[in-house]
Parts: sequence; structure tokens; C-alpha cells
Amino acid sequence: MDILQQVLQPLQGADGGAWLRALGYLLLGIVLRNILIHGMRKYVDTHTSPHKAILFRRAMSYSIVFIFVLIALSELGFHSGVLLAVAGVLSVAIGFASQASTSNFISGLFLLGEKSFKVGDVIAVNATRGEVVSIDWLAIKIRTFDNLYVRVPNDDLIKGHVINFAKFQIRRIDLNFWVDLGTDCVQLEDILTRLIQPHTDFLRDPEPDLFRLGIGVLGLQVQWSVWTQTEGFFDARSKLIDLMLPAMQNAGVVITQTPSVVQGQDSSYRMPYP
Amino acid sequence: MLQAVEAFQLPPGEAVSIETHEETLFIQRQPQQWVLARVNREAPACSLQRALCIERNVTMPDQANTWQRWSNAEQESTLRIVPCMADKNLVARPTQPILIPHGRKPYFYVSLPLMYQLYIGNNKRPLIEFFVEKLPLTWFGSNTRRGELCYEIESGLVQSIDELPAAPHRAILEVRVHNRDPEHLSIDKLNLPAQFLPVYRVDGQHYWTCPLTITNEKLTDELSLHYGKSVPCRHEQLQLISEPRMRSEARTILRALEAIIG
Repeated sequence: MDILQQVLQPLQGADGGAWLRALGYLLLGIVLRNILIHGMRKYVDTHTSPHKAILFRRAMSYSIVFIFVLIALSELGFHSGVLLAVAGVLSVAIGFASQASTSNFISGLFLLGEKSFKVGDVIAVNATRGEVVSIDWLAIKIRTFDNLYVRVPNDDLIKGHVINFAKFQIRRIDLNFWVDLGTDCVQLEDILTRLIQPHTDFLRDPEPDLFRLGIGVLGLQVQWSVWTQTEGFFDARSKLIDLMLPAMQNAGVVITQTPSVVQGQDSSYRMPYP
Repeated sequence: MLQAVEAFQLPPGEAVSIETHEETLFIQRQPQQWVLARVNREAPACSLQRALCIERNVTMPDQANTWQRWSNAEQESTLRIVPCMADKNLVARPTQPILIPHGRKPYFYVSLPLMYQLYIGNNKRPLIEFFVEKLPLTWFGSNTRRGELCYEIESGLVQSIDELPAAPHRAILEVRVHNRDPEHLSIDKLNLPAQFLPVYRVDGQHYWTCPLTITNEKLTDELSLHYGKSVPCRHEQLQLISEPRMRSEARTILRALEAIIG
């Protein structure tokens, strides 16, 4: 209580003029913050990545407001040295009390340096997949495909696996299916290759490939892999399936039952995305 | 600077149709807007020679998909069609890999498919851009991580201009490859920087672009690209149709070998 009284004592001696000056400094700080942030927005937005721009703006905003709050308090008779000492003591206390936040903050710094993803990328963290809408000091925010807002602590990103679906310009569409053992794979590959040639959604190079994965109780397991642009991946995948099914039926290729039970036993089985 | 290669004055209500290899574009001027529609054809019925035929006073078919509407407050009556280079680089693949020995500098010719831009009035940005023939996309790079998306062109590299098939809607490019490296230079495919090339019309008939010299530097993994100043063919009349989409600061630039030659 003595410390609190000691800190608040100058307020009792502050006259109306001091209060006005303090208020003026606060307003000046807010105006200056707005001018600086708006003035630098164009430069920052064009010279840095979106998430760095967000962090830079926040850091700048808090710093300016902090400085002008200190000046305003000085006008009211507070000694900035005492305030800083109190802030220091408090920050150590808060630091001990909030180890998780500190850990997230430091993880955020590592993430910033790594550049694993940026605002707008589609990522998967643990069981969450979606678009990164914000990267902050303590957590990132993701908008999932069914429009949920998910906050993921930075610490989770450092400790866990993060898949970035938008890092590279091109992606491979992999379609796994089983065909009858009597299928001529060379002929099937030729049919599928000719099928996609007129369509600009699929890339010529890297070339499409029909992988023969193995032989099982359901027949021959194959994987048809075609490259496409990351942008428009889902449309291209749907189009590929729409093209393939009638073409394979016309060619007399028998697709055996979907082996969900058999594939589920395999640890390398990958969930369809999204 | 843009040249109006084909410019029309359209009264309100009139529509024109433009045939491409695989679809027909319809453009209609309405009182307050321009409407753009297209009809896909199941099988390409239009040969490349006949493509880009423009028919006036057509009626918009019922099955046309309205694609875009250009709404403007001003009364603009002019429609312009301007050929230009592709909006991505073009990858030419010779029928067989070409080997160039040390110290040699052979010439190659390749015909580059042109894009067409539609402008309304004096607007500086086109309403749409399209190819007459559809070009497949391809990836050009040392791996799937480093590289760029390009269009793949069917025409190979030929050593004489007479060997080039007469294809309309294409501009001819002369490429000279100079190998200064002691090792043979093998070319499986060539990434042509179309975005840095202008389009010229020569004697009112053919399209040409500036020549390109590619020099494989000695004992390095770098190439120098030199863009020529004008077309390398004889001409009586030369008209600049469209400027390059992108400008390089210098006429000669250094690029990584893997970015140009595959």
C-alpha cells in the first residue's frame, strides 16, 4: 500500500493545467501514431510480407502510445524513473507468472525468422486446416474451410508438424485406386495421358505418371499423378476425376471396390485434403 | 505505345463475333455497357488460318455464357484488337536434343504464338487477353521447388527460316546460341522470355520480334541474354505493334543456366 500511495502521490498535487497538458500529449501521441502508420503503410506493405507488416504496425503503435503515456504521466508529476522501475518489477513478476506466453512469444520470433508460411497461405496444423488470417506475437489465427476461427499458439507450431499447401507454385494430384489384375497398365497410362493433353489445367512437365503400387486381394493398386497449379488445385482435381471415370469405363477398365479398410491399416495412408 | 491493329466503331446494340481455335467470343455494345460472352465448341471447327475472323452485326446466341460486363459512364464506341506477346515465358522443345560444340554460335528460328488484347475506347488496360490457340502450361525449372510456370509451344527450333511452318498469329524470333564453355551445350528445351519481347509487323504481313542472343559463359553456370534492337529481317515497312510487357534495365542480362536451358 505504501508503494501504491508513493506512486499515486503526484496525482494529488497536479493542477488543471497539468491534466490538460497530459491529455494534450495523449491526443498528440494518438494522432502522431495514426499519421506515422498511415504514412508508412504503403512502404511497409510493398517491402515486407503481410504478417511482418502487421507485426511492425502493432509494435510501432504500442511504442508511440507508450512513449506519450510516459510523457503525459511526467506532466502529472510522476517520475519516469520510478515508473520504469515499477514496470520492470511488474514485468519480471508477470514473466514468471506467464511462462506459456513467454514461450509463445519466443516461438513467434522463431517462426518469423523461418518464414514457413505467410498470411493467406493454406496450412494444416495438427487437425486444423485453413487459411492463415493473422500471425501475431503469441498465436496465429486460422480460418478453416467451414469458416471457423481457430487460434493456434505459436508454441504448438514450433513443436508440431505444419504443412503449407501454398508454399510452391505447383502441386501434384494423386488419385489412388485399385484395378482388375487383368488390366494393361501401359494401355491405361496411355489412355489417361491422352485424356488430359487437351486440358490446360494439367501441366505437361513434370509429366503425369501412373505408379504401380502393389498387388493385393482387390487387384492391382495404382496411383495416377498429375501436376497442376497450386492455385486452382481443387478444381483441377475434380475435373480430373470427371474426365477419368467415363474414359476408364469406355476403355473397359474395371475399378475394384474402394479399399477403405485395407488402406486404413496402412500408417502411410493420407487423409484426403481438405 | 499501342497501335490499333483492328479498330471498329460499334453503334449501340451491335455485336461482333471473334473466332478462336476452340471458342467464339461475342462482344456487344449496349447503351451503358459492353457485354462479353463466349461459346465453347466441342471440336475445334475453326482452322488457325481462319481464326480471328471478325464478323459484324451478329446476334448473340442464347447459349452464350456471359462472361464479363464492362460498365462505363462514358459513351465509348471503339473496339480495338492488338496482338502482343504471351503473359508468361514460352518453352520451346526441339524434336531431338541439340548439342552445340565449344565456340560455335548457330542461329535458330522459332515462331511464338501471339496473344490478342481487346481494348474498349482509349482505355490503357485491355478488357481481356486471349490466345487464338490454347497453349498447355508447363513447369520450367531444375526441380518442382525452383522454377516458373510457362506455356509450352509445339513449334521446335529450326535452323532456317524456310523450315518454319507458315502459322498465322505467330511472331518469328531469331535466337543465336553462343557456347563459350569447353563442354558441349545440350539443349533439351529452351525458356524464351516472351514478356521482354516486342511485336513488330513487317511489310504489313508478318509478325516479328527482336532477336535474342544467348551466350553460355565459360566455366560458369551463367548465361548472358542479349536483346536485339530491331527485327533481323529485311523490310520496307516496319510497325511496332506492341511494346514488351516487361522491361529489363539493360539489353544484356545474366541469368542462371538452369533458368533458360533445360
